[in-house]
Amino acid sequence: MSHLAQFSRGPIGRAFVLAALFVAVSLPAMAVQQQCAYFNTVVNSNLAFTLEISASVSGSVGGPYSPSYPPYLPGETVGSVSAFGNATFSGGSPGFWVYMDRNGHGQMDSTTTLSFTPQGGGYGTSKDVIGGAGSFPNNLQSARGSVTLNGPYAPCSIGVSFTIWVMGTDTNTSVDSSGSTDTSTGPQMVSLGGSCQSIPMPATFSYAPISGSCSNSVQVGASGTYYGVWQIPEEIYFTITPTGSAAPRPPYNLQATQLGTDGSTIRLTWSYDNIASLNGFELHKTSPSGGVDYTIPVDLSACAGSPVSCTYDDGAITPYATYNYEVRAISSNGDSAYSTASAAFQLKTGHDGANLATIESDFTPDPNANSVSDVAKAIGYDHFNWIQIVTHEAGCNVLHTWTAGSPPTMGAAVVAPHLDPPIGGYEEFGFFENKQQGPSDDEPYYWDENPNPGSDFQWFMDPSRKLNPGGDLSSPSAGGNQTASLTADLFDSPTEPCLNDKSNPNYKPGEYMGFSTTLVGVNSGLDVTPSKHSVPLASFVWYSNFDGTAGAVTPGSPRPWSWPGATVNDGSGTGGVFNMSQVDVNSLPLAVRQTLFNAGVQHISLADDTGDATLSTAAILSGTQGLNGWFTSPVQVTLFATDLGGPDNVATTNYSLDGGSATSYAGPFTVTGEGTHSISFGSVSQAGYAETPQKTQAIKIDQTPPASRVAPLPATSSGSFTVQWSGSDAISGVQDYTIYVSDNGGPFTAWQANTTATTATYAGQNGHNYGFYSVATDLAGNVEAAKTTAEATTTVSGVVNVTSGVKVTGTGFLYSRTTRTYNGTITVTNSGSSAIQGPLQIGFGGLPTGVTLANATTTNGGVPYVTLASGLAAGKSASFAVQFSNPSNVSINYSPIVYSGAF
Amino acid sequence: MRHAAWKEAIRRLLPATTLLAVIGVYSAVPAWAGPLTYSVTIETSAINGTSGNLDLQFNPGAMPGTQLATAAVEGFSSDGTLVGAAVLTGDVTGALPATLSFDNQTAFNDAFQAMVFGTGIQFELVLSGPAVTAPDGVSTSGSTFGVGLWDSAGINPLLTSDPDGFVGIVNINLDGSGTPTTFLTDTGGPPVVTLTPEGGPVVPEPGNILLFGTGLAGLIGLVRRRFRA
Repeated sequence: MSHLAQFSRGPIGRAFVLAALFVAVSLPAMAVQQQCAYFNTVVNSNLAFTLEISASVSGSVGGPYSPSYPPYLPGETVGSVSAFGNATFSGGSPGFWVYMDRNGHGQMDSTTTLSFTPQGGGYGTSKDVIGGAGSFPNNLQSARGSVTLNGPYAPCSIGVSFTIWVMGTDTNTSVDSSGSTDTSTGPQMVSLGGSCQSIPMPATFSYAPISGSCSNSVQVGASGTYYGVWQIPEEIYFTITPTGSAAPRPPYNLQATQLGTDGSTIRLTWSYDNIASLNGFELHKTSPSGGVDYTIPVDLSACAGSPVSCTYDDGAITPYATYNYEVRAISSNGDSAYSTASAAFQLKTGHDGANLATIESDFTPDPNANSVSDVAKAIGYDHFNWIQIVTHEAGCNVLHTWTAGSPPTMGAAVVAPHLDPPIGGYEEFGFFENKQQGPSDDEPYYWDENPNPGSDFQWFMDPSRKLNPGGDLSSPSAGGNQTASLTADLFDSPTEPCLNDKSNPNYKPGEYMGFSTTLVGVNSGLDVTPSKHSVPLASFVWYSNFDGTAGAVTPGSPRPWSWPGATVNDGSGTGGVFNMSQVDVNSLPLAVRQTLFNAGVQHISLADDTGDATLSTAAILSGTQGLNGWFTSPVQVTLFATDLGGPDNVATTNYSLDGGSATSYAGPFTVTGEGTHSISFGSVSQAGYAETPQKTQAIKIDQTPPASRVAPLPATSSGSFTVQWSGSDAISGVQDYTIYVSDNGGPFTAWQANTTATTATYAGQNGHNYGFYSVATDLAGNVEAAKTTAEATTTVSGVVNVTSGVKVTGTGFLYSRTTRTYNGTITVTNSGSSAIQGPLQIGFGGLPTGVTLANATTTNGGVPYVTLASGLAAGKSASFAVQFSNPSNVSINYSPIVYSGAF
Repeated sequence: MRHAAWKEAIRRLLPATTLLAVIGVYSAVPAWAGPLTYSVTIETSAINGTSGNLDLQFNPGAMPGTQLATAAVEGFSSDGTLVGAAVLTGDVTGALPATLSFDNQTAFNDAFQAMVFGTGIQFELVLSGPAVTAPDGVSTSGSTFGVGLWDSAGINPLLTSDPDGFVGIVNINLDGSGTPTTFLTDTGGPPVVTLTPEGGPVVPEPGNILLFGTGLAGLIGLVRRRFRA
């Protein structure tokens, strides 16, 4: 209304030009613009004015939304719109304000789907005078925009109405250069929808709601010929008044965090609009590894505030597992779509057992401690900090992928190490390339790749990639993540298979790849210079040395230090090629110690290590791998020894095969012979230290396929018959069978695939001949050769000849003068000791010429049969009437044929 | 013979006669050891005075394979009138009212006798031959005797509901026994024929033996008392 008032007060009678306004309403992809004839209006002076166009859009749409723009729902009060400055509301209708600056750029929330794109030309550079007199072309489209409502808000119905004001301020009453004068006598507008009309100003246009796509476009514009100087529309006001019902939008800001430190609970939080129709929420929980896929209802008691904030603690958690969550709103207007999924990563430790080249290292503080800070302070420091470094033998050219991302991408962050600073944080140390001062440890960081190839440390904390700069992890008491988990998949370069390609003969014994996690204590009162402020706290280090062995990860060796109130996960877990052990920081390779030293960790010796307690020998098996740990070829064994604690002090490596005498290892050797072998091996250091205990490695070889066959079948079988098979394998044993069947001589196809059963029932068709053979697979994966002919065949007969088991007798056959037939009674007696299944088919074979069975049920092979539905128990009889046509009165003779079963 | 003499003879012979009768009745003679005899009566009062045909038929089942059997129609009597000689087909000899003899060695053995029906017909049917007196156990088929009444045209059966036109039949079973069957009339009335077995085939039940013995003992006691008087 303020615009109207302003308008009424303005000198609208002055000359101005507003030739035409066109508004087109159409689908975005096929917008239709109605160009109306413009009005000529004479401007007799320099004129500054504003054109205001108010458009209302109504319909059953949810409306655009964003965290700042709540959805426009019927009956909902949207108060936050008022935050958008000059927004005005008519009758309480929600709306938003689009302010057009002089160059036509709309100012609006970037996340809304509403857009207003000025079209046409001639915008000037000054605020009040555009282009100067006469510089605008005719048919100026001074302001035209589109309102686009996108999103899944079907059904969609959008109507528009407009209220247009043109307000001008005559700043120069002199006649402009064209000599035109203001001839405007009032509002001169042209309306919409293809029918132009003159309307008074201010004017209001209304369109009926337009049904159809949820993405409609409303274009509002003005065009015309002007004379003089004028101001482009400065304000365009749209009002959206939804009138229908629509499903609410999805919840937003869904976050999943680990609650506590034991990995047993995940806390989920999300936000939503405080709408009257809201009844609750539904969480959808899945696991990337499968096996978890269900929904969790959440009622409104879990939510508070406006907009509502909801919290749900999920205790159905398996430690070290990863879960994905999404949430949707349940409302009386329908359920929303699911929110953007949020992944929750749980504590992990040890080896993942699936990827042979994966290292994981974790630290879990004592759950009884309030925080890591508590522990640190208990031992005299303000807090701890972390250094995590991946190292490997130079020249290996290791590729890497973080595994916790989905999908994993180069350099993607997983869970950043938690840094537990004093409140407010300090500029503590952290090592990164070419920096003397690390980032504040209240801000977790991504790990990034070292940009300098060839360095021993391949990842470092990148200060430019701060995680969660809001610092919500800064306070452990607020539920911050107190664990650190960094997982790297390390892959060899194809051209330098130095690590995980254990079968490659180019493998170079002694190569290593490590992943160390170093915890250091820091003191906030010290100088921030790394070399001065870090405290000589003994570091614990996970150091993973590749040995090529698939098997259980060796738990860490006894820790060289301890600290009160904390436990350290020593990395036990399922197998992999990396044996992880915990070593003293001073026994690390020199390159690693140098890195730590550079990072400011004190009390690190750079002298060569003379200890050999970390001597370790590993065996690599190379051959054709079968199943279940079996090889199907001779196996080449490569042994290598590494001194995990530092410089290579290995003197000799010995092994023995199958309990034989010890042999000095001179190079790869081959184990042959089927069966299970065992090698034991170990190394001796130059100082005479013998690796104890020696390691053992089982080698299983099975090169012989199994043998199997299908047991013979009877020549004829009933419809369903039993097929049996058997097989043997002298080395590893039979794992399963695949049974092939041929139908009527056709190609053999698998009937029972990879089954461990040795019998099954085959349902055949009457009259079909079936052939079977078997192919066995042993536990090592050897497969028996396919066969070319059937090992057992049978023909399915739907009826069984039981003539020999029955007695068929009859009475005399009296001649019926009525029917001119001979009639009598036939009796069938089961003379056997077992029941005969019905139906029974009693045939009269060999009837004399001229004699026919008039009441035959059916014929088979030219023989008439009478069918009895029921079977016969042993010793029981059944009788039935027969009627013979015998016009020649010859003696009636026949051979009874009795079948069990239906033809 | 005087009456008193008769009385005295009876008195003296009664115990022995009775004993002989008991022995005779319950001797261990197999039921199928002798011919099968049926007293046949046909009630024809419903068609009294009408012309028609009497059909007598004795056929085997499957042939060969049916043991020899014979059938004889003896003691034929009727208050009706036989019209001419019967038409005989197959192994049939004789002429009514004299004996008609059948055997079962051809498929169709039939006597078709035209007559004017009276109120009844009676005769005895005697079934005999090895199939009755000495069944061989290998025969696959029995034989059947049938009696039917037909109209004068020989087209429509009379007084029976049997679709084949018989008022009664007797099967000779494979064990030599006989199985008579009668049919209701075409109006649902009781069969017009009775097939009453006579002689050997009757095997009294134990209860009947007890009743008979009790009555016999009483009779003997009564006679003795009279003799003592």
